Amino acid sequence: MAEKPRLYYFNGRGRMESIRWLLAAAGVEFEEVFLETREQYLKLLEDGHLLFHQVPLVEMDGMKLTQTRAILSYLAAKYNLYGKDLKETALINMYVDGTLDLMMSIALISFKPSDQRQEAELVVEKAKSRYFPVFEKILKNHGQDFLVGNKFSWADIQLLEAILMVEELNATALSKFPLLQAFKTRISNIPTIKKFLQPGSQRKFPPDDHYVATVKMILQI
Amino acid sequence: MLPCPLPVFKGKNCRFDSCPSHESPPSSLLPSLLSELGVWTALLFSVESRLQKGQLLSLVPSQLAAFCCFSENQELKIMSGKPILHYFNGRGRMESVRWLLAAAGVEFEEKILKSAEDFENLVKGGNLMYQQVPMVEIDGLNLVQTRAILKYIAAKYNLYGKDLKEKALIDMYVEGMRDLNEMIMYYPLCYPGEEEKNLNFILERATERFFPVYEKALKSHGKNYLVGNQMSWADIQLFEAILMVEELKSDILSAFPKLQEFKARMSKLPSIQKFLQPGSQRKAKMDGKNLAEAKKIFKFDDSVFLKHMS
Repeated sequence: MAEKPRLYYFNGRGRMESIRWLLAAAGVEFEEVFLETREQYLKLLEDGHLLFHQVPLVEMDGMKLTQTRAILSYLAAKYNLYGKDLKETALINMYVDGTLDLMMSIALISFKPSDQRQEAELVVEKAKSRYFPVFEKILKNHGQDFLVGNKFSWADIQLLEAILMVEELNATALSKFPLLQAFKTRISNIPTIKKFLQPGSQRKFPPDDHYVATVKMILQI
Repeated sequence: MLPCPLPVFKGKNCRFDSCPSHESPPSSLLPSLLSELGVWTALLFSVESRLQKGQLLSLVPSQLAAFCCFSENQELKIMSGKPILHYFNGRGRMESVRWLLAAAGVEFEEKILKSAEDFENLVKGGNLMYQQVPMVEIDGLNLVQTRAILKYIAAKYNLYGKDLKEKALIDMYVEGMRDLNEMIMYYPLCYPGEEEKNLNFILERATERFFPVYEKALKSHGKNYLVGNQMSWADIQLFEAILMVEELKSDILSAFPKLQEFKARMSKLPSIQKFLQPGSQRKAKMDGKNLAEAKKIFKFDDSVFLKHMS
């Protein structure tokens, strides 16, 4: 029996959340080991499991995968969510790099000492002016259900994830993007994703003070 | 230039210097055109009228020439087939792309942004997906996002391993290098007075987090390349990173014998030797003047990046 992928990270979203989304959307069951103490982290380091001393770490297929994008690319390719040829893969890479950038800037808000509400507004503004228009236009141009190649891919999962994160900061963020609204509904209804959106799934909550404090304590930052 | 003799564009000036309609009479046009088929096919494909491939050879010579020439109002890009890199005249995020193409022996062109207006025009042109550079025109795509560009090139030129696992290993290695490169890229923007602190941070990371990984990889398998016993994107990126750190501290590899051997080996590869010659498309290390130029073109101020170093 194939072993399930095992995810090592803090008990929160951070950089691991996109990986959880991708696995869940692909219908792949996974286990999680939560880092709650510095000792756990140091043990992972000492045992040589963290290539560049960093988490996320995903153990699967006999590998200890680190570096978020390396992990995501591996999963996308393995589960046929990476396009059918080099050009589609390139489009997907362009799209996911954009959405990952956006989601990272949201994740970092909680770690900034300055005015977090103001930071959140800036990020929402960026989403509405730089990112959402791009994807709205892509959907409008080809009129298809999915971003690339008329087929469900990593790019669709990532965009839904990003939309939901922005909406947590500003519930009306999609008001000017009718195609993205329809996209959000459509992708949310895909069975694996619908399941992941249920309470009790492995989806994590937005960062709170406790989460931020835990991360800072474990990584001593 | 002579006015074009073809009926379609009669009286207008042909902008294409070596237009065969000027070289030879219409009856022999087709053979001369076909002998340069590569260039002409590219020209035809870029014409607004979207000529179907199948129609190419069935056209009458004069019609062929007519499509190849262009009117005064129409811009015709001469597609040489080479990738075109859009960036300013500095390393920044584009340098890794230049390295990868050069090492793969792929010739490329560069459209250098020289002013804020150049950049604004590029944005207005609508081909920058997120209004950012780098952007590389390649194979009919306008690729943005450095990683997307690098991955496309790596895959196209067989520098991405032979299977998913090798690819994953290459991805892990290059992500590490990107982190290191990024620190070096932002270094010229650090707070005045904090140069030494930041420099030490970079050197510490290089010698304690990144180089040991690659040293260990090379030592453990004893092969010439990082992954799968053949040259990959990871090797090219590592070579680039080594040279950049050495520019900050020339003896940085003193504790890494395998990396020293690696560097020597890579330096000898013909495509890399060529790129290391003066006059190549390799860009110089950023200095005050280059930084000022970047700030002028992209209109960023110090505060945007100064917080990056931590």
